[in-house]
Order: sequence, then C-alpha cells, then structure tokens
Amino acid sequence: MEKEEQLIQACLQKDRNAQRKLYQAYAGRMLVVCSRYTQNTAEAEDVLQEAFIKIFQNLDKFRGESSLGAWIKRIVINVAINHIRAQQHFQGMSDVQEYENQFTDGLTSIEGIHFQDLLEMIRKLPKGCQSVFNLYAIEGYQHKEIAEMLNITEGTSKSQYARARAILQSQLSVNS
Amino acid sequence: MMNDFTNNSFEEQWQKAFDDASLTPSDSVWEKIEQGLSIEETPLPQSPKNTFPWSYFGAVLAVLLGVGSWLFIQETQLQAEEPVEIQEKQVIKMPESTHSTSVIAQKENVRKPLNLPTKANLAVPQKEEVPEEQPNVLPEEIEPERIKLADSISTLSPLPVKKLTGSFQTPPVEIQTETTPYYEPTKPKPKKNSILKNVKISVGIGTYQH
Repeated sequence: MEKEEQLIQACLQKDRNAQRKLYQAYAGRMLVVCSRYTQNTAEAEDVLQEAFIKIFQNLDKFRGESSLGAWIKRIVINVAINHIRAQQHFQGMSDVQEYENQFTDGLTSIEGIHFQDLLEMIRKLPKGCQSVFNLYAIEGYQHKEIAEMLNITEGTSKSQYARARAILQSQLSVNS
Repeated sequence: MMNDFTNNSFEEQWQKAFDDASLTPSDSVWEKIEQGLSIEETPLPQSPKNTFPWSYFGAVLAVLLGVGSWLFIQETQLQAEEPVEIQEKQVIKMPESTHSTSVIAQKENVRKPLNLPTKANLAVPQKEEVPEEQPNVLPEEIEPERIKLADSISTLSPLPVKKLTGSFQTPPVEIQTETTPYYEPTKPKPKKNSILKNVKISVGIGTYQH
C-alpha cells in the first residue's frame, strides 16, 4: 500500500515513469473490461487509452474511499459506456418479452471455459444487451443503477439482461 | 447440468471467470496515452500569457477612474463657482472707470420715480388751477446752453465740474461696501449644476455622489 501511495504521489507530480508503472499495473485487467464492452481489440484499446488519460488527469480526486483498482475500473466502465453511447448503441432498446421466462431453461456451467471464449460470446451479444449483461452479471450493478447509467428504463434493463442470458445459455448449450 | 449451479449462481460464475483475467495491450496504447498527457501538460507553460493579472489591472483601473472622476467633479464645481467671483470683481472695478458721483446721480435718477407724487398728491393739482404748474414755464426762461449744460451735468453729477475731477482720482472703495445705501450686492447666481453632478459612479472604489 505504501508503494501504491508513493506511486500515486509520483503520478500527481507528473512523473512519467510512475505513470507508466501505474498503467502497467492495471492496463491488462482493464483491457479485459474494455473488451467486454466493445466489439474488437482495436476499439477496446481506444477506450483503454482514453480511460487512462482521464485517470491521470483526475488522480488528484482519488480519496482512497475505495481501492485504487476499483476507482480505476469505474472510470474505465464510464468511458466505455460513453464510447458506446456515442455510437448510439442504446437507441431502439426496448423490452424483450420473449426471453423473460427462460432463466430456468437448462442452465449451463461455464467452469473450465477460458475467459477469452466467454469474452467472444459476450461480444457476439446484441450491442444493447451486451452492456446490460456486463453491468448486471459481472460488475454487479442493480437494474435501477443500470437504467440511470444507460438512460433506459429499469424494465428495459431487466428484459435486455434476460435476453442476453438466454442467448448465452443457448450458446453454452451448443458448445457443451 | 443444474448441479453445476448448486454453489454458485450464474452471475457469480461469470464474475469469477473474469476476476483475474488480463490481456496485454499493444505498446502503441501507452505511446498514445503519453502523447495525450504531453498535449495536456504542454499548455501549462503557455498559460502565463493567459494568467495576466487582470484582477490587479482591473483594480488599479477602477482606482484611477475613481480618482479621475473625483478630480473632474471638483474641477467642474470650481468652474461653476468662478463666474460669480468675476462679477463681484467687475462691480468693484466699476468706480475706477466712472465717477463715483455719477453713480450717485444715476442712483438718484433711478430713485426719482420713487419720489413721484402718489395718487393723493396727484389728485390735489388736478383740483387746483393749471397756471401753478411752473416747470412747464421755466425752460422757456432759461437759456438753451445752460439747460444743456445743466442737463449734461445733472445726468453726471449734481456737484460742480471742478470737484468732479478731484473726487474722480480718489474713488472711495468703501462706498461699495454693503453699508452704503447705493450698493446693491450682486445676487450670487445659482450654481450651475454640472452634467456629472447627478451621475452616480459605482465603479470599484470610485466616489459615490448623491
């Protein structure tokens, strides 16, 4: 922790080596986060770049209320959502009723499946429900929070998540 | 298949699968970040151009405007008071150009209408006979030259001409004081209101005039 504190202080002093160390410490994990919200690696790296510039610009606002990793991840997710919103992926998102009652249909385990395979499955989701799935299933946000973040209704968030889950289940069933 | 979810929910499995997941970004990402940070940091040396102390400049300007306007107002007020003093001086200098006695004579001439008979006095001669009005007869008996001289002198002064020259050289300045009955104190003209008199200046530390 002391090393992290020193690293933060050095980054605040615009120490380029310290900034590079901080980037190297979190870039790998954050690139996975970016990849879950985007369609390809190039787009993910664009989001990662933009996110880390914002991280270094706003590092003085980090109060230590949460871990530095959680703070960095929150910024990366916000940048990713803004990136998706700029591409208007959320336009036309509406309730999808046909997936509402498919939660109990043949749940398939994902244990033993490499995360990159799971990542490819997430990337194949429709653009709208991809973000909802990431935010609800992996990031752990509530549908009300997701509705506010994506500027959609809570019902739309729920139905889009149900749709994403049903699609993933069907893919896992086929693969297994 | 359901047994796989006995311990972990669907969401927990996905969270666990991505917990320690990591991908190596390409080197170009850091280079772009470094460029972006350099662009953000380079405007800082240029900022001194924009950090000209406008606040101090504005404060100094406000003080200068305040002092300048105050001086201007004072000057305009003094200019408005000056014409009154000049007229008073003209009145004092008047005896130097004209004889003091002539002034008295003029004053008497001016006051003659005050000695005119009132309506009661006028009523009595009307009742009396007309031949008693000698002023109409007297001019015929006096020589024309003497009348002219008397008229000319009476217009200047009732005193002899020889005495006029003596008194002309030493004009009594005290006559023009307020104690003399012929001194009419010049009424001080109302001060001209300057244009900026009612201007309320509310710039910074400037004067505030009602």
